Amino acid sequence: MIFLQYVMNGLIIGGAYALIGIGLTLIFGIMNVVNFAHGEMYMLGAYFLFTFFSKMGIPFFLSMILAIAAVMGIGFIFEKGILKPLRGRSIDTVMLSMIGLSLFIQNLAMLIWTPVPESIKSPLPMDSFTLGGLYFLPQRILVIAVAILLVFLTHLLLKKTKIGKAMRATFQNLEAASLMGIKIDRIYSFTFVLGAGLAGASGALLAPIFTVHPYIGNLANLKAFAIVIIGGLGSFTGAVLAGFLLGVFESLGAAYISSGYQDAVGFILLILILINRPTGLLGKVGQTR
Amino acid sequence: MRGNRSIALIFLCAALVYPIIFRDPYFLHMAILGGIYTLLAISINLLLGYTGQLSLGHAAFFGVGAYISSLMYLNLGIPIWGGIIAAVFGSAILGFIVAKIAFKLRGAYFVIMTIGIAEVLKLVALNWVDLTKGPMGLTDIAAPKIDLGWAGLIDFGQKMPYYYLTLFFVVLSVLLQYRLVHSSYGRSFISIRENEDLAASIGIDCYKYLVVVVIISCSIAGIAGSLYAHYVSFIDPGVFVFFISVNAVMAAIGGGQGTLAGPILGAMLFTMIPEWLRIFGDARMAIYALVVIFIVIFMPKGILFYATQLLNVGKRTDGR
Amino acid sequence: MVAELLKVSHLTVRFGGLTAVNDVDFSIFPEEIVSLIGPNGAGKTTTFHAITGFLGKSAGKVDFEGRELTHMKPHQIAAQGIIRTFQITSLFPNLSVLENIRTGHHMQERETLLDAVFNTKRKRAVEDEALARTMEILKFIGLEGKKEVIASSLPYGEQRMLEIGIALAAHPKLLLLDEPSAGLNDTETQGMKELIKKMRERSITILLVEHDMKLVMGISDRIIVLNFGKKIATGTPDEIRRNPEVIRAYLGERRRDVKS
Repeated sequence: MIFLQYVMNGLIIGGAYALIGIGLTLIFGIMNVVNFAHGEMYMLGAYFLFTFFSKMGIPFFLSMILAIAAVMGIGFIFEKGILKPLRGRSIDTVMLSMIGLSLFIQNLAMLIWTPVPESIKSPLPMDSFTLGGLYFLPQRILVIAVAILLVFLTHLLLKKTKIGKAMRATFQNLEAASLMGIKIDRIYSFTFVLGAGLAGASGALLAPIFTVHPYIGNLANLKAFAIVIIGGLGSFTGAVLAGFLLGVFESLGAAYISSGYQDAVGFILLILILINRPTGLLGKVGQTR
Repeated sequence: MRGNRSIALIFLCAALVYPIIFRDPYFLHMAILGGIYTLLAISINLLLGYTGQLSLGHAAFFGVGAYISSLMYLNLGIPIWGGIIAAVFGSAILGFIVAKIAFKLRGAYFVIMTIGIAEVLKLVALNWVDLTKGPMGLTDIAAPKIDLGWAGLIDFGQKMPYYYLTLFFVVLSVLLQYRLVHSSYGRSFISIRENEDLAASIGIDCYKYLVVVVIISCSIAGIAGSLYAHYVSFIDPGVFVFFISVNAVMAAIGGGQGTLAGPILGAMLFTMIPEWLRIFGDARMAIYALVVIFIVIFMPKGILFYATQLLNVGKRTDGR
Repeated sequence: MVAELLKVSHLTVRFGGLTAVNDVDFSIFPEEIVSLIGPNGAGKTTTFHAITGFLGKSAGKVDFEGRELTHMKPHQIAAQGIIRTFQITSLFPNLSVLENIRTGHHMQERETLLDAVFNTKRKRAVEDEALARTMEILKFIGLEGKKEVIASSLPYGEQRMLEIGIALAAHPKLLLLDEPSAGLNDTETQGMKELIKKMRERSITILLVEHDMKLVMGISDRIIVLNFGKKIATGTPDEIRRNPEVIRAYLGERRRDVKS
């Protein structure tokens, strides 16, 4: 029974992981950008929630929406201000620029919010309730509920909307998409903002569960990359699958092996995948260059 | 070529007399750290500047070298001389393993793999408390004293002897880099960066050369780690942090990747830059980040390139 | 009966549901100049890839000087003496013309790591020899005057020449040229033709993939024709010129073009 509890806990966190993974796989897959600043969007989502809800007293759910919107706004600025001018530069240049950007945002956050870790007290009831023999905390239910909702909405967006189709076309063949009249600039902006928003949502959702400090983006970033590679670059379903998988494996790993190595689970899975199947569980074959 | 050799000799002489002129312990301290970073920069340069592979996880090999050397001393009583050799072996073996598993990977995948390795090792250092004492770290990693009898005692616990020790390894590595680059090995490394398929078609076993360069690169990083450990006499899992990997890459790029003098210049810069930024207090890392962004975007060929452009001296990007 | 230099037997290459090369047999004899021709998509470059190890074979084998080349990696096949050029211009872009050719000389330089590190007498002798040979090749391809020029800034025609120079530096016994005259004007093509003849005079056997029929007819001892991955004809230029299947294969392609 307790095994199922661990699995359930893992799935819940996995939902948030899926969100941050989807964002990155879309950015990496469609824009071919190794977005090392992705974790910072996660961190900002958490901090914005803190500022809006804990500091300014704005109602919780509204704060979450505002936080996500704020992160999307920042994502928009980054895309237009930094990524767009860098288009055409080598992938190393873009990668290192994003690393620099991530370092900058982290330390800016440290200056704005101080490095003292904060905690956000969720307004939801603190008592867990049981369902089918398993314990659930309301905040965690919120996480998985919102995560599933956002995954579903993103899926609909990609599959049914015009812009979603344009995104998928751009992912498959940039030249052809551009020749067909798809405005690549606009797709890139949209993709990045969407990715940032999902990462911000992930951060805002997990913020009341874990502590918030300026460097939480680092680990989130690395896990996001692990998820993207494990799931397969550019694969939406892969990112979702890998996100949940990572959550569950981390939970089980922490419970049965050692909690100190919990964060290593993602890396170990990543390294295993890179050795055996670099294109990931659901990725396109032959894309490791 | 002759001109370059003279310049190199001048720098060597300057380096040899430096501690005699600048006796201030702070200057010596900076020079020693600069030397250690030069080793890291050279190790990155071999990989990035010549074979074109970017590693953002070199802290892994630096840290492994540091821990192995420290544990050799603390647990087995082996002084730094043995420690460095053990560190080289350890880092080389780790590098070999990484090269084997990552050899099919290029670009971003290779980068992420290297980052992952450094992070895993950091977690191992944090959690394997029996071996590494976890977050408490290892202390009292002493540097040896050599009793030369009539010539006196050389105490490597003092900054000046340690400076010369570090300089010794820097010169060795610079020479190694030079010799490698001006050999068929160097040409093979460069051919991997320039056009792997073409290289294979003329008989270059790219995999073998990649493994060789990784092992050499990691060994040098291991030496840097060992030197660091016995200098600061205390290490903790912080030797694996991302910042070290990033700073090493910045040193290689900022100085000028694919050149011989670049890593030295870059390392000196990127040892000093975090120091100069201290005046900004808490904002120091944020400004460092801006420096990183600036150099990566506007000076990707490194300061050496743009400086020589200014001075209109022809220096090519293939290491001559 | 002269032993064949290269023997391709039942070569088949399949990928993604497409059979690019279908049960192809042919042999190349020493010091021949053989052309491999066929409409676009006939499988010519794929055949090159399969022979030189850049693509895996689905079936069949390739023998060189009696030795089987199966499972060898490209650099190992190059070490056997088969050197190839590429359809798309393939150079070491940031290196000079001299350095490009120098790199091609790699296999001739028996240098160990210790040689490199300690700059031994042997290494220096090897390097001197390599430099001499490089200068010789530079003269041979006519790029002597441009030896310090960075490869990426050479005009297209000279880049193609440089590619041949790099391949020559690798001491080929058999040289596989993939569309050497692609994009060259008439003068340059003539120059390429002369170069190929001169190479044969140095006992290099040459197999080329080509679209320029004038060049093919003018230089080949034999021609092999592929269409849709299958060998449809082989013979002297005269025989091929008059072969009805070959004509049909090419006309068929032209008809498709006219339709669209």
